[in-house]
Amino acid sequence: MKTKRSAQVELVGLVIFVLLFAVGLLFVVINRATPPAHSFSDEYVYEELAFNFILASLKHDTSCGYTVEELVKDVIYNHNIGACGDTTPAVVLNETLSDLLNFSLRTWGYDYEYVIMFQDQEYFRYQQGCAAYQERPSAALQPLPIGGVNAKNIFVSLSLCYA
Amino acid sequence: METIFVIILITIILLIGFRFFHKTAQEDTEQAIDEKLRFLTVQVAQSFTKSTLVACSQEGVVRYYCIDYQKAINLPALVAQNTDYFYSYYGNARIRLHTQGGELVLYDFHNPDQNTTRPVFVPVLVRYPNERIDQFGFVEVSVFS
Repeated sequence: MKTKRSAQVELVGLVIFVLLFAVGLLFVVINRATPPAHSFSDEYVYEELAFNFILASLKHDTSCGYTVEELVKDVIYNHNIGACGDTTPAVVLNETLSDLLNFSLRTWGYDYEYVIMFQDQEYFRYQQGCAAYQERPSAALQPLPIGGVNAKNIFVSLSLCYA
Repeated sequence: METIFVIILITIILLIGFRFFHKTAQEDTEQAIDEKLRFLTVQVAQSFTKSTLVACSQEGVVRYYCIDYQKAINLPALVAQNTDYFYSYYGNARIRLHTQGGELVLYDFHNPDQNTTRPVFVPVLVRYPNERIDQFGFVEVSVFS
């Protein structure tokens, strides 16, 4: 009778131990699995970086004497620039944007999504990481007005995603 | 016998719990220091780009940051002449201008053993007056403590 009671007590002790251990483990898992909240300064840095990148990159002079902004407008809408040296404005624009992104955001290890759109159609897209599930602050968006009386906008947007 | 077993178990659980919470608190403190340093880096980057660099304007409206390259290459000498003045503003920091042609150290005061966080980058337009071209570049700011 005494042996049976002792076995019961041991069993209860074991159950309590397992329960405590499980609760502890659950707490650790929840604590570790929760993604760290991004601070305001992080958000600010990402947004400023994206806006400054767009503004500086659009004013960058390309190898054929036009700025990136002028080439974007021409390739998508105006079609006035016939050739850029030995090649086309579209090729120069593509190479220039790739080079700028590689020289900066890619080198710094940022995940990004740089898109140039006109009337719901994507003309250029450069992406590094930035999967759909990745958190990101607001995208920097720069409209480029084109056309005269019936002005429309080309939109250049840059999203930087949290790693 | 069971009592001793239970006491040992509780002690082990308490020790593990203490260790876990102690580590978390330490991590929190390190994170707070990192955050403070990062905030300082952002402030230096803001202050430097806004005050030292030229704000390029379009039709009278400041649109983007740009650097006159001729002024930028004179800046290290200017910093050297006014070390106390710059140090009182920026403290232990390193500010470098990267262009597609290379990098230029604009300001650098830090010891090798000091800690730093990830640098802050400010994309800018570098203006080359003699060549009449504007080219993409960036300022890299690191603060040390």
